[in-house]
Amino acid sequence: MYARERRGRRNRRVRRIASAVGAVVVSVALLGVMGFGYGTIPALGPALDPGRGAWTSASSGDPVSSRTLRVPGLSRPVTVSFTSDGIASINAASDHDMFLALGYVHAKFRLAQMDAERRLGEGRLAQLAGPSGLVSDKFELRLGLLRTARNEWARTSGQARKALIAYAKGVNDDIAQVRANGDWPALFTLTGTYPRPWTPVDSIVIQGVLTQELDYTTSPLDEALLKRSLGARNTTSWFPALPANESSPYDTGPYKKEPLTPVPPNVASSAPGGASLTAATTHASPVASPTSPASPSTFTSTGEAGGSQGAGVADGGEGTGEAGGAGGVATTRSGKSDAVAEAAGQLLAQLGQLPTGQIHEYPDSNAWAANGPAVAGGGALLGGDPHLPQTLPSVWYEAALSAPGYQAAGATVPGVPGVLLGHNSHIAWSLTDTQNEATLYYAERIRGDSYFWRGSWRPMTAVHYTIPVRGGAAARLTVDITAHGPIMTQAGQKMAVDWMGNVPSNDLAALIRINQAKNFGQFKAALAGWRAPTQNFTYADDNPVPASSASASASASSSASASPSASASPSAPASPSAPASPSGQVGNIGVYAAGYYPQVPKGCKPWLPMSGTGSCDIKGVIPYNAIPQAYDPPSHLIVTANQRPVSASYPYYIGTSADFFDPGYRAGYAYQSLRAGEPLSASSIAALQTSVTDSLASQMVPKLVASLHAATPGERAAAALLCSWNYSMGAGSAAATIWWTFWDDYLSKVFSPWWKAGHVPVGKDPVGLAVGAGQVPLDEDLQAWTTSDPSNRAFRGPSGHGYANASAAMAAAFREAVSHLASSQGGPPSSWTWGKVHSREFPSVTGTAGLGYGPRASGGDPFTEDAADGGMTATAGPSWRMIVSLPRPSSTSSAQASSADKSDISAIGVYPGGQSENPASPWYANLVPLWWNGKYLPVPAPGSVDDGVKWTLDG
Amino acid sequence: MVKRSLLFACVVAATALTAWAGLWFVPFVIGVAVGLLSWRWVVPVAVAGAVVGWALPLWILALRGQPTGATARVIAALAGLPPHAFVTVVVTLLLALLQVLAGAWLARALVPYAWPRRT
Repeated sequence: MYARERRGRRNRRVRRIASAVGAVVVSVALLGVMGFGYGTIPALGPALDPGRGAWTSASSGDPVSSRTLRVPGLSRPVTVSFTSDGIASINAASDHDMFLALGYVHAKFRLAQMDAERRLGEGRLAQLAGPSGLVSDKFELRLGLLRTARNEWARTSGQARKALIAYAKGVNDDIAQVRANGDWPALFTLTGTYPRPWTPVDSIVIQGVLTQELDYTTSPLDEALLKRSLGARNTTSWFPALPANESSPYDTGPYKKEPLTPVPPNVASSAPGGASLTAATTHASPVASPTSPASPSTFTSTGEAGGSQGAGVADGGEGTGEAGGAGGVATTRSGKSDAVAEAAGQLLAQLGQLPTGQIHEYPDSNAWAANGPAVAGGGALLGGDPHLPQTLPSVWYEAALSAPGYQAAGATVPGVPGVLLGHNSHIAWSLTDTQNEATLYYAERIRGDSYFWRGSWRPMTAVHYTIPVRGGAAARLTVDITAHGPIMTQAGQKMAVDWMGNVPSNDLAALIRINQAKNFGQFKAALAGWRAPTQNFTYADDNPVPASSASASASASSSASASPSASASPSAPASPSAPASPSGQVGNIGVYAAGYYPQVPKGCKPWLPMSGTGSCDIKGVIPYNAIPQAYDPPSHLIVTANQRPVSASYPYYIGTSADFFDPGYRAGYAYQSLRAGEPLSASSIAALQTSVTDSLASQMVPKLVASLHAATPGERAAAALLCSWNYSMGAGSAAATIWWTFWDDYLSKVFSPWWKAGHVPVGKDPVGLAVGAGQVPLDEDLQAWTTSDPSNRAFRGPSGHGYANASAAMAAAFREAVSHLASSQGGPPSSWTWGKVHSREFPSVTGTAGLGYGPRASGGDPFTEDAADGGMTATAGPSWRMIVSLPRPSSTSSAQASSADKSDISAIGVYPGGQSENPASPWYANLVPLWWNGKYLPVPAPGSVDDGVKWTLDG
Repeated sequence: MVKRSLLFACVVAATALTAWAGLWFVPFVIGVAVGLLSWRWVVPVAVAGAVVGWALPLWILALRGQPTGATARVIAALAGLPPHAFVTVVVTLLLALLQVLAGAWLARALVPYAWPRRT
């Protein structure tokens, strides 16, 4: 009895102790997780506190209301008015106040996006996203956007410096307010990582991120792998320097051949301090060389790679199985070549882990301009739709900016002061990517911490980083930098990248000057400082047309030139603001492909990794007056759609067909469509911007139909659909599905046997190496062969037992396409609508499922004006559509123009997204339906004040 | 009944007001406090009070016309949970509930005889 009682007491004590231990453990764990988080789980207590946590982000989801806000630093009150759709108009009494207010407004609506973008560029994503962000951080810190931004800031002066400082002040005013009231965007509260103050360098980094997305390419790495797998002959034939088709260049010459503009070989090294060549050699004093120096004669060789584009093809095409050339690494030894290919593969695999769109992957953008008789009522018209990753929130924030001497409206980039695409009181402009080769790779000779360059061993500059990781240990990274740039590979053959995005480029000063330009002369002058990304700056104005241009136009019109855009002259008139011509024409158009086009010595092959010993260093860039351009062409039309902007006789190297130049299908169709639609109006431009006609299909389908001997009912029905098709890739078109599946299968039938036989390592970089529609050089090849070389040896395959000719391959591909669709879609061919297999999606920039838009059935493909890039669920395309009318000024407004700088310029625009980044806001995705349905909203005129919601910002 | 109502009101007021002040751990403290009390009913009443106390700020946000439901959906999505508003609301209120329970358990486990048990 006593023993039982004792046992019972002991059991109770054990239970009490167990309960106490359990209570302590549970309480500590609960409070620990709630107070400090665990791993990537945020501190749930402060995050979900209903009074102060992420819930408070609801306040920024409120519809915006009129109020007065205190914004320290303003010298005078600033008015910010919003249309009912959220489009902002900022009216300030000075440039300083205007930029400060823009920074404040950007931060008010896009703070989390801005912070995420600068984190991405500065290699601090892992601090927010945890270990999954480390790959991106290491890449960015190696590449050096932050180092370049610091170098650039050190050189920034004048108006750009003042603008950046004022802008940063505005952003910091908002951060201070949010910090005070605790209404952080939910992303910050949930991660427990809050934004540090904004600096001008952050703005430059964001600009660098955009540059990287448009300009950092891997084509030389892909080419190295292709060459190893397919052999030099096939690679050169199928990925030629010049495309196999016509690409409708806007600058058809005649061209100037001027001496290169010299640049230091280490202009893009990204070394801290922005070391010039002199400084670099001073700091990096040569180390005793154990081997003989590289041949100086190679380096001093005159003439650039290929001499011209055409020669570039010949150089490669005449190779003997191994691409030749003094500077090509691949030519020295096969072992060396393999090492370079290995390194290329390694680097590609590393880059493949980056989020989609972080480096350049697709051709992007349209911009068209028309003037004179091509425009209904005279004047000029400009349309622009940059194709970029489509995300929520968008990369754009629409705004009109007004201050004395500064009137601009259009698309701004959160984080950057100024209007990137838009118009002011006299001119309008839009941008498309030029796609020239701006990323060069160098295989370096390394010994310890030194590299061999120009005859001696030199120490690499080492930069050390510590990368904070949310929920994990900080990572360490050392970046070695040579004269060419940072070493990007981690093992084996060391490869440095010489990327023009790392050239300190005062793009912001150029942007501000563009915003204020009144004519083409000022526009061109503003672009003189633009280095990267190389862009086709498409232009239109409302100025009188100089008499010379008008007469040239008249003669060209009468001769009905077949040339798409025979330039009157590569050089714009010195004074486009000259008095009105006798003809009284108004409205000039132009394009200028500003940026650096690096040139290497003759014999070097910039489309492959090159020797880093000094023989293939960049020796200069194309002189400013000789870069691709056009002004008031006799055709009265300028079309830029990422096509190769110049013809084969252009005397400088700008890149190969693998450099993401668009195959010219969009450009060709635009020229054809605009010419047919003359005289043009804004609605003509809108119709073209939303067109989903596939011009490649219009060329290929008749040939396909002619080659068919349909055997089954399904094939006959599919062929009948193609016969009656209008080549529209509309979501409801079944023929569109058949065409696209056929084209993909046709490419596969012809090229895949070669890829398999050569063991092309497609997995290293599917975008650059896989066979498929959208692999531009292969599209161009097959188009050209089908049209004019139907017995090309490629059809017979590596075994020689493939297809006899194009017709046989097409017939086989068609059968396979029909069979594949019948099994995957079922039902009759008329039910295989494009929208069933093709959609668009606008994912959240956070990558969070549920906060994006779509996927939604959609028309379009990569070849249509309304482009859909990124696969069958497209995530890239027209990110902003704008049409600017620059009509002949009315007499009333002409009188006003002289006194108040007013004009009749009007613009409409739309982007798929909304002004607010808060998914709970009514302005988060409110513009998507408009965009989707091809509608536009008026772009507020600079200086206008909307009757709706108004903020008064007061310092 | 009066005592229960009074305790409920006090807990609601305390948790709601301190939530606005950013003191998210107050439900745990309340749990410890009621755990030291011997009445069996205090814990369920405190739990209910804390849950209502944390629901109150959310309700007021909604009353002000702020997009509480949409915000809840956003939070759930960003946290990697199914993007539905009720998920975030349930998780938030669950945190209040768990804190009170854990606090009460801790108090009763460590100070089992602090007060004589009464019903």
